[in-house]
Amino acid sequence: MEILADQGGRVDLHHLADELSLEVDALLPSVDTAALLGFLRVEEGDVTITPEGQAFAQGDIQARKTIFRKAALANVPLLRQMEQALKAKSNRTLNEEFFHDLLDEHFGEDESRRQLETAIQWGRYAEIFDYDAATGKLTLTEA
Amino acid sequence: MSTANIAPTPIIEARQLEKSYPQPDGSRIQVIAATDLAVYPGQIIALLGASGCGKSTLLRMLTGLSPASGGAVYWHGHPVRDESPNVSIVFQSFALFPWLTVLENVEAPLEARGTPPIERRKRSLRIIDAVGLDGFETAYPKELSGGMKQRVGVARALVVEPEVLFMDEPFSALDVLTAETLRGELLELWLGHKIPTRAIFIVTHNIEEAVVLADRIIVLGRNPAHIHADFKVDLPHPRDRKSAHFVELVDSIYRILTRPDHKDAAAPSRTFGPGREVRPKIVMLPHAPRRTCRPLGDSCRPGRPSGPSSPCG
Repeated sequence: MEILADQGGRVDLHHLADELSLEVDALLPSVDTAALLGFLRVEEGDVTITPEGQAFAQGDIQARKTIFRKAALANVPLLRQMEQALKAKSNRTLNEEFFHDLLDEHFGEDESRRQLETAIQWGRYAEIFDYDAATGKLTLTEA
Repeated sequence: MSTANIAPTPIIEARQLEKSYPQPDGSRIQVIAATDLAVYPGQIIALLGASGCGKSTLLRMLTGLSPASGGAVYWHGHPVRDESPNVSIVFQSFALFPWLTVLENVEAPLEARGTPPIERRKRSLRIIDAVGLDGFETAYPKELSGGMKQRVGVARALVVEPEVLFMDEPFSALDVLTAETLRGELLELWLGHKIPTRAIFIVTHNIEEAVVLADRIIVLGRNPAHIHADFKVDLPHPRDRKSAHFVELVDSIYRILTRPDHKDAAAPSRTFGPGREVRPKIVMLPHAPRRTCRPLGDSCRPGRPSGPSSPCG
């Protein structure tokens, strides 16, 4: 992201991989993630940074978290659903099994696990909810 | 606390510090030759050297973690044996307590120092916030990625507000992107004065990492370890890896490291920075002291044209 911001916002994927001494394969998950969050656009092998991406790249540690939270809630339906489900509960708490069962209707067991794990990581980082691995409970982070 | 002004008194000073291990035949293996080294406030110092050359051993002696075989370490002028230096270390392997949560890991050193629980909690939460870990307070290390684990390592080191922060290859167990992010965050904390730490001492074998971070770079030669070059880096932050000065400096350090026994082949003859000539403080030994030191007399003749790493025999 920072390299992109430095290089005028648009760069060839291969060139970017080169710059980072990474294989394109290794770079793709990061690019996909950034694209999902609306920080990048990928078109025909070129990557373009968006204004949100620009802000993220230039922000400090705290600013990045805020920008990430906004982007995650805007672009990741699962996280938005999780936030709404937690808000709907009077104790602001749900067990992870609840979300796992929801995902299970659409995905296989492994994929559901993976999706939930990623969502929990992101949700924690974005301070949408807290997670207790011992009990499996998700609790809405109070503002 | 500008990096341009060096206070006259060092925080830590090593005088003739050396390390050797006894052998069964009565001789000693010299790991670190007698070394003088001072850590001044306001600097990030990078200690660069090839793997296994003694960087970590030197770091451990400077922190008082490992006893010296000769010489001494002074902490504000007092021998480290009498004082308990206010330092902390970030390890390459993170070295977190797997049975403790993030918050408990960060609180641990305060607990060990007898800080009252409320104060402990307050300080820990503050530093967790500063390194971007909030949201993960209740997570256990196994739930975290490498980058997040090392953020815990950094938070745990910083929570005691160390005067000197020691880092032993802190980013080398991470993938390149994560390592670069963490370097940026460390600089953000340091340059933005978000931490009260007065100096950072980072051990690394990554030349670019040293040049990205450090105000001063010490290159360690090997067999036994000795200071091979010691110079200031005046490039302004953020440093551009593509700038001519940056590339020039990386190249010259690379030459020093790969041809350690050639006296002056590649020593930077001045301080690196945009234009300014500043006193180059370069310590070059005429030749590398040899590996095994018997009581007086060494079969190795110095000055022999020898390859980079050819040992005695």
